[in-house]
Formats: sequence, structure tokens, C-alpha cells
Amino acid sequence: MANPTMVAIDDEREFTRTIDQFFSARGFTVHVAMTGTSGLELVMYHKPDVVLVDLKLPGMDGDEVLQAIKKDYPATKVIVITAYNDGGKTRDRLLALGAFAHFDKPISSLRDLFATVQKAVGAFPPATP
Amino acid sequence: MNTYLTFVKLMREHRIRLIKVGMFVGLYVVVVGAPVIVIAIGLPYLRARFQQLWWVAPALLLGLLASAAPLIYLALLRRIEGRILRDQRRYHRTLISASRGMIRIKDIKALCRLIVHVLNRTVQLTHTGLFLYHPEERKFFLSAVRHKTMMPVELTVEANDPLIQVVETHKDIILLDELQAEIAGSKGENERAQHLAWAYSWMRKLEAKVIVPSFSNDKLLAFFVLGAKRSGEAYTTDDISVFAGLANQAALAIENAMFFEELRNNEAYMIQSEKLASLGQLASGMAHEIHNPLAIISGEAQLYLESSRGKDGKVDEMLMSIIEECQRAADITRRILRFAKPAPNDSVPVDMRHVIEESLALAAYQVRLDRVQRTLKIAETLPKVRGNQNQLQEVILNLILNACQAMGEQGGTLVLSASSLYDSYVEVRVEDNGPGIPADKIKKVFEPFYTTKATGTGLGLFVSQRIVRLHGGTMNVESTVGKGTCFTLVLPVHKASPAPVPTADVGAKLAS
Repeated sequence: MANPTMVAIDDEREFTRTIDQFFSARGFTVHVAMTGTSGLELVMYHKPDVVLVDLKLPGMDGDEVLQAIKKDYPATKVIVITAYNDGGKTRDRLLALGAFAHFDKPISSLRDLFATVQKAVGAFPPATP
Repeated sequence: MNTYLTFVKLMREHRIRLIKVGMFVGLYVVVVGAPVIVIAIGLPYLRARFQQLWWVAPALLLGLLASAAPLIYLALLRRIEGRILRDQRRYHRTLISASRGMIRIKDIKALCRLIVHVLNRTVQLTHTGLFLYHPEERKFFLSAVRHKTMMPVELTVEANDPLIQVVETHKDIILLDELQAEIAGSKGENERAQHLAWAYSWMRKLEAKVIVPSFSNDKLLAFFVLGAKRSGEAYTTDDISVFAGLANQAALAIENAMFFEELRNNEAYMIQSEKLASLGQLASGMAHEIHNPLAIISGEAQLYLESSRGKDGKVDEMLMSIIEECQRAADITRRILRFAKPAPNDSVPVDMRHVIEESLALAAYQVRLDRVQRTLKIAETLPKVRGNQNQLQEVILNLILNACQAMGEQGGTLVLSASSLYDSYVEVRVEDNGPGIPADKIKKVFEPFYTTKATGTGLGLFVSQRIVRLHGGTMNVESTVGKGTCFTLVLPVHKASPAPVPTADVGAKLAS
């Protein structure tokens, strides 16, 4: 089985770098974008298994990215990460829009995120790097 | 009333008649007396001068005086009548013009003082008081008084007091003497006679002669208590009709001022809500800006921990601490955000235990709690209340912060308790053992813009009380100087399937 592919979209370069390093080390092919539009291009081009997207992005925001992906690539799992928690309302809305999962920033445990991503791609637990 | 007033009127008319008769008699004594005196003194002279016709001069004098007398009589009568009625007309005019000006006064306290002052001064009364209805306490408070010796300022009358029932059934001015007559006449009706007797003794105690009610749409807004006239004269029908006019004008003016006060309070509330709303917006932006760097710090620390775990215990510990602290920092902004966000107006079941614990945790970010001994006394099976969690949290947090600030640097004991009240309400108490609030200040703590803190807005307790009232609850304070202060909230319990009408009723009852 080929390496699972991931597209991470976040305007915080350092955050995407962390995600890139963490998931690359766990056998993922990670593509990184800093805006919604370029992120969608990457999704079109690479057809990833999973997309990590920040909710608040310059230009096209996470909501729109989620809806566009769900429309064109319903099989792609989208995990939304938000910096702003408003007591569950946003989470409910995102899950209703078809998001696979939702995480709050800062991510308290990257391992939890990894476990969720694993579930999303339906892969077996990975070999420790 | 009629018998008494007729009597008063009779007395006054009687007096005028007496004066008239006196004047009449006096005048004719002069008319007849002057010629007689002339004859008695000047008879020898008249005889010497006019001989047989000595009587002509006195007769001419008599004729002259007799024809001038009616004219003099009328002129005198007009003057005397004018003098008798002048005082009364003067103060009637003053009262009428004063009552026209009242409507322009928007401050209710100033208005009450003005009405009482004008009344007392122009009618020259021994004492005057104005009792104003406060719907929240269901009581009439003595809001303004002249010559306090008779009426202590803290005097209040409950809305269900027999006195109020008497005033409300009379729907008119009550005179002490008339009340006495009515008591004598109503021996058969037991309860009514008791009420009348109660009202009578109340008036006697205050040495009041007249009670003038101010109604607005059949609702008793206020009533005046008047002592006797300083001249000792009785009240007249004219007085009563002028008082009735004044009372009507006063009712209008009071309603007007109440409306403005309500408007002002609403404005203050709006300002506070707007402040909270803009703080909410600011906080959500701020949370975003803070959470992003925290995500990076935490993420990179986790990444580093992944690669270096087990190599150096100290480094592992440090990295773990960084990750944990990032989480804590995010937690704080989340709490502030939840608190500051403009609250939606939905009513859901709220667990007051959760609210109290959350508020206490939040308070720790704003005041030093290490010298405050905190005790939680929360009932095991506390029913949930109906309301908005954020708003209730704001109230409790506010009370905790106030209590901690009141206790100051040296700290003290803070007791937070919550218990069920008749299964229909939850009672929450926030007690401190700080310096307490003096009796003259305690009524003011819920007023908008009243503050004792250098940086306070004076809106905290005002808004808190408003929130509690909007929840259909009550908020009260008790305090003893030197011992401490206790705020008590009573909130209606959330019913599984609330019947809308009874719940609204309970709310209204509690709110007033």
C-alpha cells in the first residue's frame, strides 16, 4: 500500500512545518499550502486521503474549503482545526458540513491527532518511527 | 366627607355672616349715635344758635349718614372678604402653578422633594410627607418629608397594609375627622371597621390630618400625608379641591419621572451590554492570535519530545511542562472568551454547581485567592435552574470578585453555598467576612454608577441584579459592618416541561 497522502492548509508556516515533520516521520506524504485556494489546487492535483485545514484563512476560509472538497471529492476526509472555540457551536456546524473531526488549537496531543488521522485513512497502526 | 366639609363650610360662612352683622350693627350705631352725641354735647350751643330749629342740623347729619351707610357698608364688606380669602387664594394659585412645572422634572427624588416643599410651605403645614410606591419591594417608602420629627425617614408602608386598602377603596382624599365619623358609622362591618380603625390610628400616630392619594389608572402611585395648618385653621372645600388637582398633577409627574428613570437604567444596561459585546469581539480575535502561537509552541515541543524522549529526563520534563502550560494558557483565553461573548437569550437547564466552580476558577485569574479561605456548601442533589449559563456565571463571578476585593489584602473567608428552596427555587449565597457595608450605603449598591472602588464602573451589581431579574429571580444583600456581607440569589428551577403561564407568573412575583 502506497503512503497515505495529506494536504495541510494553514497560514501559520511554523504550524504546517510541525504537522509536515510529524506526519512525514510517520509515513505520510504531506503537501502544505498557506491559503485555501492553493490548498484546493493541491487537493485537485494530489487527491489526498486526508486534509487538515485551519478554519480561519486569508481569502477563502476553512468552511468553504471543506464544502468544496466535500462536493468534488466526497471520499476525502477533512479534519478542521480551529483556534477559536465558541463552546461547541462551530464544531457542530463543521461536523454537519461533513468534517471528519475537529481539533482545537493548540493541539494538546499530536498523538491524538495522529490517531484520528489514522482512523480517517483507515490504516493500521503505524510502525513507530 | 360631605358632612364634615359642609360643617367646615358652614363655619366659614357663619364667620362671614357674623362679620357682616357686626359691621351692619356698628355702622347703624354710628348713624344713630352720631346725631345723638351731637345733640347730647351741643344742645345748649344749638339752642343758642338756631333757637326753635336746633334739630335741623342733627337731622341733616342723620340723613347724610343714613344715606352714606349702605355704600360704606358695601365697601367695607368687600375689603374684609378679600382679606379673609386672600391667603387661601394665594396658596391655591401657587400650588396650581407649581403643579404645572412639576411635569418637567425628570429626577424622581428631586420631584418628590419639590412637591412636598411647595405644599408644606404654601399651605403652611406643621409637617408633610410623600410616600412613593416601589414596585420591586412592594412597599411605599417615605420619599420626601418636611419637618421630620413626626415622620422618621425610614418609614415604610407595605402594599397590603390596611391603610393602603382604605386609601384605595376611598379613591379620594381622606380626612382624619371624617375617618372618625366613618368608624362610628360602620360598626356592623367588621373587617372594614378594623381597617378604618387601623388607618385612623396610623394617621393619629403621625399627627396627620389629611391623606391625599395620587392615582394613575386606578393604581396608587403615591400618597401625601399632611399635618395640620400652622394657623390652626381647618381645611376647607377649596383646599381639598386644590389638593385633588395637585395629586393628579403629581401622579402624572411621578409617572413621567419613573419613565425617565427606567429609560436611564436601560441606557446604562445597554452600555454595559455593548461593552461586553465589544469585549467579546476583541476576545475572539485575541484568542485566535494567542492560540496560533501556542499551537506552534506546543506542536514543536511535542515534535521535539517525540525525537528526544528518554534521552534526558530533565529535557522530557521541561518539554512536557511547555506543552502543559500552553494548554493552560489556551484554557484561560477560552474561559474569558466564553464569559465575554454576547450571551444568547436562550433559557436552558443550568447547573449552579458548575457555574459556581467555573466562576471561582475564573476569579483566580483576577484576584489573589491564596489568602481567601474558600468553602463550598453545595447540596448534593441541586436541581438545575432555568437560564443562561454565561450570564449567571457573570453574576457569580462578579459577587466573588466583590467579596475578595472587599476582604482586601489580609484575605478572609468566602463561603459559597447553593441549596434547593421548596423544590421550586435554588438559593445561592455568596458570603464574605469583610468590613461590611454601612446601612446608608446598602440601598445604593444596586444603583447604576454607584461604586466605592477607584476603578469601578458602578455597573457590576446593577447589571447582575438585572440579569437575575430577567431570569425571574431575586438578588438581595445583607450586611453587618465589621462582620461581613452576604448576597443571596433565588433562581427558579428549570421544569422539564414548563407551563409558560405559571412560570411567567412565578417570575413576575419574584421580580417585583
